[in-house]
Amino acid sequence: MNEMELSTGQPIGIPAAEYAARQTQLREECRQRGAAAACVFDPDYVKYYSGFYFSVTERPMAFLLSAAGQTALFVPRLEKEHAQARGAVERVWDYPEYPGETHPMAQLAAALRGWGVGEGSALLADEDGYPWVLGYRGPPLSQLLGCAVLPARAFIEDCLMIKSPLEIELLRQSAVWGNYGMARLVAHTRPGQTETRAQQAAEGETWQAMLAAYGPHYQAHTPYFGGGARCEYRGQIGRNSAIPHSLGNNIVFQRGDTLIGESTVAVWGYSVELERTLFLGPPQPQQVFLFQHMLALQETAFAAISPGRPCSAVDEAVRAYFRENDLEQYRRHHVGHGIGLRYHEGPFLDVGDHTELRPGMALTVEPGLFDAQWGGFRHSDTALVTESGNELLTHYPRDLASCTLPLS
Amino acid sequence: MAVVPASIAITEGEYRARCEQLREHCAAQGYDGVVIFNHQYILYYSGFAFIPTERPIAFAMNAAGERALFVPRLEVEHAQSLALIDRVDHYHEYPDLTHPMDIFADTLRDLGITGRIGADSDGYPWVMGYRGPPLSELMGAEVQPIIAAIEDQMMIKSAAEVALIAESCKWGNLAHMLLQRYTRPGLSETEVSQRASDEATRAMLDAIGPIYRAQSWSGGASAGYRGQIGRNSAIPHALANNIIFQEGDVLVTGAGAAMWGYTSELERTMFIGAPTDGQKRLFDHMVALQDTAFAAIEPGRPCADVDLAVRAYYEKHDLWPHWKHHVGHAIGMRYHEGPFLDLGDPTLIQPGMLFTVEPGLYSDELGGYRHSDTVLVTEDGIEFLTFYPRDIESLTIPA
Repeated sequence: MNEMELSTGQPIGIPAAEYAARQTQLREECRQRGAAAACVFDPDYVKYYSGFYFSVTERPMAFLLSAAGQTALFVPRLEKEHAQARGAVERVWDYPEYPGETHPMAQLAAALRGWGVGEGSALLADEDGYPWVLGYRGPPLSQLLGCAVLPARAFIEDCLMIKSPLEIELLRQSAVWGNYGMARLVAHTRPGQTETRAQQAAEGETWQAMLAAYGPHYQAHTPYFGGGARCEYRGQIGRNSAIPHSLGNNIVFQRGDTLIGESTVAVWGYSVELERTLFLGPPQPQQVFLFQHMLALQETAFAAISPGRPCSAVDEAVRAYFRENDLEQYRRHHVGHGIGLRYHEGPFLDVGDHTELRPGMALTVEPGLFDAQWGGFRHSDTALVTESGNELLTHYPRDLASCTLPLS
Repeated sequence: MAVVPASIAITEGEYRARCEQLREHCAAQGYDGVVIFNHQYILYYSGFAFIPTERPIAFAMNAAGERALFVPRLEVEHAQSLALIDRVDHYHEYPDLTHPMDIFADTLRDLGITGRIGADSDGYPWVMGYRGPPLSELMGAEVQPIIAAIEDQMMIKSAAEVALIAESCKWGNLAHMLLQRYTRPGLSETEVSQRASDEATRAMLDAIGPIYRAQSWSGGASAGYRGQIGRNSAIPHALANNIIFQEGDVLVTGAGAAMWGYTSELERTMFIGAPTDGQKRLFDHMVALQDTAFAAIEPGRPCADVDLAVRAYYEKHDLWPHWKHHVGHAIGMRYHEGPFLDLGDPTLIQPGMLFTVEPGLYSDELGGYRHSDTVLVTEDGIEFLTFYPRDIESLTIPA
């Protein structure tokens, strides 16, 4: 089980009861769609339903659930004890190795057959067999079992969109540590210093503070961001900051740089997004112009996020601001995305996404302006949709003065 | 062509040769073209490195060898910087008013990639909240799986790829050396791993200089324990838990470095303080198992033979209770890839293949015992790319 008790009795992580509730939802979906069982391979989904977090390899792993209510993890021999210790399931089935003497998919099919999955029945699954990742090759489950495979992803994604109070608590904790990491990153950013040094110092200090605060039971439980605290610029420095998803490169900070810093800290698998546009030394008028419009775009989005409205309405409001202020030439992407176990997830604050905003959704709000000469201008905050509107989970200062760094 | 600074990166000519090999495969299969969505395959064929999100990105090549990248607006300039790409087509956003796949369909029709298409997946996979139609439905085309052909191509490394992986081994070795130097009782796993990784990364960035590209999530050199400390080391894929080192601990390490998208694997079993007789016995058997595997890797033999030779050693020395996994796997752009040194993998070993060799022994009381080395298959045997000491004296840390 992922649950653990601090001496205060305050649980951290997702407790067994919540896994049970998620499993009940999936079982109900099986019944409604006439599936004899469900099988999920995606590691984030396996974690969501069982709490079992693992390194993905060519060796297939799956969370299994029967319509009758049985639950299991299917793992290779080398993960057996790990799965037994961490998985909120009734049993762990293990196979010796991949590819091994008997192919793991054949062994998984045999296990599912024992639950009544076969010809004339249906299996709810995120993939028809383990996907061909990291050198894995193998047959579809539909072929092995002769059953119909009903796609499960849309249903599971819909479940992941609405965060429970415990998930929200983990997102809040991620926000606090993200804030700390951003403060440390800023403290180490000055002309002449390299991006790498600032990143390493900020990440190291954030890690040590977190480990001291949570103690040895802390789990990042994420395969993303190198697995834990990421406080970095990813090369979004100076003119490079106009490339939104560039990858870091040991750049030396210079006076006058526009920077986009981000600080993401995973707490038991969950993380919020925090990004800040920063200036190294006093900004030029055009930089101030783009910065202030970026803030106003973000404000426009915050004002538009309320339950009952479609996601598209938020993007439309922001696009209207771009048009009214003659900023279309600087627009490159939509307003934001859902976040939780993955660094991006649905729904999307985009004109084409008509999903209704509902309390419990966590969304990044990050409209950006990009200029080839002056760089990228984007803050990202994570907002939680509440009963009456939204609440910002991230709380790092957003104003120009706070985002202008001293030169020494 | 413009003058480009010297670099150890994969050259444009090599990307072109890779594309040509893929094009020939597609021609032989009678495909009108090929579509690739996986980010590592796209990097392999085009040199385009990016962070995958819900916004689909695709590489497409028609029967004439014309190459296109299909990207969201925010990646356009990044994609256009690549010389070997003939065209960059883009969509504004995902999902937007027009679904990206509908715009991609126009690109494919324009390129003549219609009737019969080789693809690594039938449409962009539903990752990170993406939802969209299969390629077959979108194009009304026959979509044939192409992963096996791509994986077969990636198995055989070129001289330039081997050089990058050897470079990765060098900086993994430095990180590992620092890890061992800084590990001592009373310190935590995290602080030691961070110190070693940070120092090695800075040395690497300064040594290689501004041409360096990680092209991977893990942007540097690293070494750590992933929680494989003391009795926890019996869980091979344990994940870091910030354990405090104690005298008597058995440690299993892991080290490597990201090098233009390539990686390597170096793992060592170490002790804090003198090992007990029981620990020494398992360590010695583990080294012998690895030696057995090294001797069995030869071009022309099936991968399965290596696992069978190692299994015979387990059998002969009554070590089955300590077995948990096969001998090793190939490595390159991914930390694991095929083929596998496993009794069920009949793939013939060929020069240019790279394998990790890492048979292990695990005991609930005595911990885990595993070295992993990255070796290159040559015309007449193997060559070690990792070169960290393997003997027990070198790997015993004073208490």
